[in-house]
Amino acid sequence: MGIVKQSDGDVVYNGSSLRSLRPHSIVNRSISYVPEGRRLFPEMSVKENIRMGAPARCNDLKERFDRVFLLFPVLKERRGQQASTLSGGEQQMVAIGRALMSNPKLLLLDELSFGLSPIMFENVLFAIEKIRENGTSILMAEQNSERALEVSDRTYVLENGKITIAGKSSELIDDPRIQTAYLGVVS
Amino acid sequence: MPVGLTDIVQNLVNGLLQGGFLALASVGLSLIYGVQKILNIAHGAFIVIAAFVTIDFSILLTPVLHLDPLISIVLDFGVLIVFGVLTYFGLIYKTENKGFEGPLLATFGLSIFIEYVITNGLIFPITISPTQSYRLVLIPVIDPSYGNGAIAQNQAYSSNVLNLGGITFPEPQLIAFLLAFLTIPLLHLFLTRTYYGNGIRATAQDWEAAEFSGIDIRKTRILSFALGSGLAGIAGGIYAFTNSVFATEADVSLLPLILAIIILGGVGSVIGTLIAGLVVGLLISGSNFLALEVLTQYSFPSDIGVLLTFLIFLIVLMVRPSGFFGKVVK
Repeated sequence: MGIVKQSDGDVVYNGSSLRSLRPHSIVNRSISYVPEGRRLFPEMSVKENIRMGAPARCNDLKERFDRVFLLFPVLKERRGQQASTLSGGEQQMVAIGRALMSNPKLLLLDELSFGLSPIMFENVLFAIEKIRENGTSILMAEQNSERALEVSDRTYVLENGKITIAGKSSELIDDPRIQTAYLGVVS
Repeated sequence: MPVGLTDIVQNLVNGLLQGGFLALASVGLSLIYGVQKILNIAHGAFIVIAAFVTIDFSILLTPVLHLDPLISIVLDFGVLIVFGVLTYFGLIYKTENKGFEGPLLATFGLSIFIEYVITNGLIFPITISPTQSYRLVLIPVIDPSYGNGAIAQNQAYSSNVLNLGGITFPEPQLIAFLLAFLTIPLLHLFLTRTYYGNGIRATAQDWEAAEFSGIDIRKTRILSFALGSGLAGIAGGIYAFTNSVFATEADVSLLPLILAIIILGGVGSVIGTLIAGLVVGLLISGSNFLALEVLTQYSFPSDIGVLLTFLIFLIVLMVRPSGFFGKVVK
């Protein structure tokens, strides 16, 4: 996202390089990021946190808020609450809501399941599928390989920084190489 | 003379009135430190610059334009915003991501420079021949008292005193207090109700998260430094109304109290700083009162009040290391 400077190579999105851009300009190019560990602003309210995802001047702010609250009704109830007092799942929802406020075409999700109960993870995944249905592409880095393969279209397995396995998720789901890669054992 | 109830109440009132200024003097630095983790050592010098702007305004412009010297506080705010932005780009911008020491040393140097310029101006003698010499005046001497202490002149109400049942409120002090008491809640509203205010808070809480949320943190950092400096400007104007200002105060002598208030109030907490400023104001006048009325009878020196103030400050820090409103770091 432009925070860590690239040492080598390039990242190209829609035909233009993101290499020299600062993070807020990358957000302006319709890419949003939900970081591992959520990274909310702990002493700000739910609503203020979500607001920070939208541009400084924003004519349809209310519509954008409504879309987030439609996706996560619980956040509407808690909009005045301080972010640090929320449960892990609710915090994840705020992080996703914040990322959606810039109307992204591409949403990057880092370790969505981090610190969530299995039930909460399912709830969040359900919302992610709805986001995809509304036309936003989703790229997620996820260690829960089983669920990741079930919900995604394509899967890439990274090992030591290199893509070792790539293909349609539906074809890879029964691939024994996946389990080997994840468990790090050769059977 | 026996100590009466009126004396004690009067003392508390004096402490509160002084505390308003202290809170305003501290809140700008607290904001900058909270957002950028930069300690602007020249903050005290910024206050003194503004104080002299008000003093010079009251001497030079008030008689000509018939403007009340109070108006110069608006000027102080503007001048110090410009000064803050120049300082930010000149001294801090390049060094702020490379650790704590760079901005610390740079602003320390700046404070020494400011003290020199206020006292001596920036004047270079140019000698052409033994009989002909000129003085190139880049900046004239700013301190009209040449080091003897100056206060804002031509205050229409400087000797007015409000008397409520034996307790006196000198009007300049009262106006200064009200200004401080209005400015800080306004700052709080700005920080909590506007996009850029919230952007400043977000940057303070997690600057990386602020970046990838889409906030231009370069803007919020410049804004917070400019705003913090502007607040030093208002504080300086107020200072010139109520105290004799010395150019030598532009060194780091105002900083210990300001830092004590920032820590007590919790770094970055605006309302916390206001309360801490009032508490420290009360502490100072209370300690001085105690020292003067009681301790001197037991042959303690009369300036033991300062020692008492910082002693109480230390005890508070031992009980609550992160101040009244700061998070307890675990």
